[in-house]
Amino acid sequence: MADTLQDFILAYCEEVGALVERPAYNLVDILLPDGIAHRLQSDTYLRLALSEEAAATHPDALHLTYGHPLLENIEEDVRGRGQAVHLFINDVRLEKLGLFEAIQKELGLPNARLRSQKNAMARPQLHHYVRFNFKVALITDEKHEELVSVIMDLHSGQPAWALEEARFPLPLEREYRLRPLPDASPFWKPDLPLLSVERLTWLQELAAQAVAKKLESRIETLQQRTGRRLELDRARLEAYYDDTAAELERRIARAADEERRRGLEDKLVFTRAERERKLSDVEAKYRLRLAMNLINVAFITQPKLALEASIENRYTSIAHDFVWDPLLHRVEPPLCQVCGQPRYRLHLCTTGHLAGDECILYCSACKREFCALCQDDIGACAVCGRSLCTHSQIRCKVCGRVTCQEHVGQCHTE
Amino acid sequence: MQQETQNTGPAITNGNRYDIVLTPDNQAVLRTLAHQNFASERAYYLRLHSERLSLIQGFEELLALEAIAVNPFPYQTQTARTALRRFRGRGLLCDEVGLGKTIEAGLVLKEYLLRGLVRKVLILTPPALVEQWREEMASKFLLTDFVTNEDPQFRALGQQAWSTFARVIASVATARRAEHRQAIEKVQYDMVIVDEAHHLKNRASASWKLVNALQKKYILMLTATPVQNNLDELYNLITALKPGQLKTQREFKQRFVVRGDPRLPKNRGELRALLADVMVRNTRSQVSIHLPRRRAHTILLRLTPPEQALYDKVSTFVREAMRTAEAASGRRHKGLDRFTLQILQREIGSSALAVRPTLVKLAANDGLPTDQRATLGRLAEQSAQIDRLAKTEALLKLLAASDEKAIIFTHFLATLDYLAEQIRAAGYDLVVYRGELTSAQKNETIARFEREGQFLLSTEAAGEGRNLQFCRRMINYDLPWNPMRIEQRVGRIHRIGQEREVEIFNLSAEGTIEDYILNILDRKINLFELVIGEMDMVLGNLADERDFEEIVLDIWTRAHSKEDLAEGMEKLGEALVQARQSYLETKAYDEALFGQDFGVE
Repeated sequence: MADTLQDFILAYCEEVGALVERPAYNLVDILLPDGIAHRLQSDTYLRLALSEEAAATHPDALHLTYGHPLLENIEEDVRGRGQAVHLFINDVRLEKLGLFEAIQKELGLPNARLRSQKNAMARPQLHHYVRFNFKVALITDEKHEELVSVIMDLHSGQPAWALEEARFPLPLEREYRLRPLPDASPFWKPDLPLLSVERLTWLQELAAQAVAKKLESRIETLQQRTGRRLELDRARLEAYYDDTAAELERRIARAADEERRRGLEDKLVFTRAERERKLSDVEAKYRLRLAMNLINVAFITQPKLALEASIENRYTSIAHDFVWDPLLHRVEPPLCQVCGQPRYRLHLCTTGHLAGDECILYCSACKREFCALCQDDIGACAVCGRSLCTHSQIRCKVCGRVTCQEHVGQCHTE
Repeated sequence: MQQETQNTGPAITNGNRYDIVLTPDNQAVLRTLAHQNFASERAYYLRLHSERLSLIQGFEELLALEAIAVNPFPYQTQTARTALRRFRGRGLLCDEVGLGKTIEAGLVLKEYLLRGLVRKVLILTPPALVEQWREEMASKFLLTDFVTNEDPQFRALGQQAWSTFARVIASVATARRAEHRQAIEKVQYDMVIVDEAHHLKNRASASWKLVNALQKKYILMLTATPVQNNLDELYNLITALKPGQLKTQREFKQRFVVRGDPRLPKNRGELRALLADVMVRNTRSQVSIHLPRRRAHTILLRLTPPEQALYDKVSTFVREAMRTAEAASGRRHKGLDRFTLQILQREIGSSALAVRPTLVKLAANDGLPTDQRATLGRLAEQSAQIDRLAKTEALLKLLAASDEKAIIFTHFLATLDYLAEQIRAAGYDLVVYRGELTSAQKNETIARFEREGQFLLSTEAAGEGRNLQFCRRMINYDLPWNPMRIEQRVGRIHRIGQEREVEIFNLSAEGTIEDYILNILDRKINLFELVIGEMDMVLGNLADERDFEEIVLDIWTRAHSKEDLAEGMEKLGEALVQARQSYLETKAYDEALFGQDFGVE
C-alpha cells in the first residue's frame, strides 16, 4: 500500500486515468482528463514537486505540500470514491472429514451431549464480514488521531478477533471464483436483512466498541495524563474557592451591620455557584471523547461449512448449526444466547437455550439450569433469596410470596 | 455568514470513562454498502491512504502554518506552540507593542480550528478594533466568516445572535451590557480571545465579571501592559484566566507584594514560576527586531485665495449644519447627518476636486432643506472655478527634489485622478494603485513600481497589507484624521526588511483641521517616531473613549473662533501628551517587573 505523498498522487492518477511521467525523484508531470481537471479546479497539465528539494531544483514545478488547495481538492475527490469495496476469500477447501468429531472435540457441554443428525451433511454457505475502517480522534484538550480497523461478523454481530489475529495476510481477491452458494442466515438480529442500513448501523455501534477495546491501553495512558492535569486543576480551583469562601465567612461573622452581612452572604452564594461551574467546565475540558469517523468499509465474503447437530439433555433437545471455518481451520464457537458472546463451553438450559457459564442460573432445589432468557421460569425465595424454578417454588397462601421448602411459612413473619 | 451547526452523533458513554461519538456522516458509507455500490479496490485503498496522510498527532507540528496567508516570525510560532502545549489553550500573551500578538493569537485559533477542537469562538476587543480584527482574521488567517456585533444580521437577531453565529467579534462595551450579558453567559464557547486585556485589571468592573462568567474551554488574553498601577491588577488578570493560579487575593498580597507598596513585588522567583505557567512576554531586544529610524517633515503651505475662500465657506457650512443636527438630536431632522458632514470636511481638506462631486450630489438631493441645497449648489459652483491647487504645486516641487522612489498617499479618488494627470504631465513615471483593482492587477502594479516606476500614487488600499519596504520615502498628500490609519500607511515601508532610514513628508495647509491634527500628532507626541503599535496604546489611555476622528470633529464644529479652536486642539494635545506619558510609565513599570524572563527565545 502506498505510504508517501508521491505514492498517493500516483495512485490517484492511476485511478482517474491521468497520464504520468516521472522526470526526476519527487517530480511528476501529469496530464489530467478534462473532467478531473475541472473538478480539481486545476489545469490539465501539471508539474508537481513533492518535496522541498524537488521544489528547489525545479522552480517551475508546483510545490505540493500538505494543506495545499490542490491536494485538498484531490483529497475531497478521493473522499467521494472508495467508500465500499467487495472482497472475497476464495482460497479455501470446502470439505472437512470428521467435522462432527471436530465439533465434539471443541465443544464443552457440561449438562448435555452432542448427537449427530441422521443423514446430516456439511453444507457450504457464504458468510460475510464487514471491515470498518475508522479514523479515531482521541480528544481531551488536545487531539490525537489514528486509523483503526475492526472486522465484524455480520451474522453474529461479533468482532472477528480470530481473523484479525491470524498470522497470515488475508487472501482477499476482487472476484468470486467459486460456485454459487447460498448466504448463511444471521443468528444475530435474524429479522433484519443481511445488508440493511439498520443492521449495519447496529453493527457499526458494536464495531465502535470493539475499536475502543483495541485502543484500551492508549486510552488508559491518555486518561492517566489528563487525569493528572484534571486533578491539579481541580485542586487549584477547590483550594481557591474554598479559601475564598472561608474568608467570606470570617468577614460575615465580623460584619458590623445587617446590610453588609447580606451583601457578603450574597457574595458567598455566588462564589459557591461559581466554584461548581468552574469545576464542571474543567471536567468537561478533560473528559475523553473518541470521535469515530467511518472512512470506508470492506465487505468480505468467505465460504464456510455448516453442519446441523442435536444438543440434548433429559429436559430438552435442540438442533443447532455448527460452522467450520476452512480459512482458520477451526470450529467457530457458538454464541451464548443470553450475552451474545462466543463460547466453546455452553449449557443447555431447561427451556432449550444455549448459555455460557456466566449466564446460567441454577434452581437451588432441583438443580435444573435456567438462563436469563427464562425470567418467567425462575424466581427467588422471599426469605433466603436462593434461586427457585417454578416447579420448586412454594407459594404462601397467606401473603402470596414464594419460598423454598426450608422456609415455608416464614415469609410473612418478618 | 457561518451559522451554528452540529456535526456529532449521540455519545455512547462507556461506563463514565469516556464517550464514543459516531459521526452522522458515517451513515453515507453504510448506505453505500447497503446499496452495494462497490468501488474498485484501488479506490478503496486510495481513500485509506488519503486519510493516513492527514492524521493529526500532537502539537509538535503546527498545521496552521500551511493554511495561513502570513509568514510568522519564529518567536511567534514558538509562542503559539507554548500557548497550545504548555498553557493548554489558556494563556496571557504580553509581547511588547508591535510584535504581533494578534498573529500569535490567530495562529493558536487557526490551529484549534483545523484540528476540530474549536467551533464556537468569541473575540472581545475595544470598539475601535472590532473591524481591524475582522480584517486581520480574514486577510491573514483566511477566516472570512466572522460576524461582528455591528453587522445588520447580528443586530437583527438581538440576543439570539450570540448563540446563532459560531464566530463573533464584539466590543467588550457591547458584550458587558446587561441585555447581552445574560445571553452570552449561556453560550458554551470553545475559545475566547480578549484583546487589550489590561481593561480587565479591576475585578469589580463589568468587563472582568463578564469574562470571568463566560463558559469557555480555551481563553487567550492579549495585552502589552499587563500591569499599569499595582500588582492587584496582575492578580485580577491571572485570576480571570486561571482562578487559583495566584491563590486568594489575601495570600497573593502576603506572599508577593511588599507591605506598604502595592507596586513592588517580593518572592520574585516563586512569582515568576507561577506566571510562567500562564504568561508569555517577548521583548524587542529578545527577538532581535530592529528597525531603522523614521523621520517626518511637514511642508506647511498656504492655500491659494480661492482655495482658502472655499475651505472657509465649506467649514462654516459644516459647522452650522452640525449644530443644527445636534440641536435636533432625537427628533426627525431633514438636514445632513454627522457622517456626511464629516466627509465634506475631510474632502475639502484633501482638495477642491475631492469635494466637488459630493457638493453637486447633495445640492441635487430633494430630501434636504432648500436653504442647504442652495448653499451646497453655490459651493459646488465655487469649487468648479478653482484651477490651481497649492498642495499640488508643492507636491510637484517635492517630487522634483529627488530621484528616489516615493509613495504618495491620498484618501480620495477624485484627488487621485487629478494628481495622476498632473504628475504624468510633469513627465514622471507614475504607477497608480486603487482599491478596485483585482488581486492580480494589484500584484502587477506593485511589481511594476518596484521594477521601474518612480512614484506610486495610491489611496488607502496600499496602506492595507502590502509590503513596500523596497521604498523608503512616503508623501501624505492629505492626512487621515485617524492616527491608526496614518500608522498603517507608514507601516507599509517602515517594517521588517526596511534597511534604510524612512522619510515621511506631510503636506499641510495652514489653518486646516489637518494642520491642527498634524501639530498635535507630530509636534506634541512625535507620532512618526513612535514604535509601531504605540499610537494605539496612547489612544487607549485617553480618558475620552470616543474615536479620535469624532473628538476632532467635535472640537472643530464647536469652535466659534480661531482662539476657541486653538484652545480645543491644545487641550486635546495635552490629553494625548498625558496619555503618552501614562503609557511610557506603564511600559517602564512592566519592563522592570517582568524583565526578559517570559520570552520564548
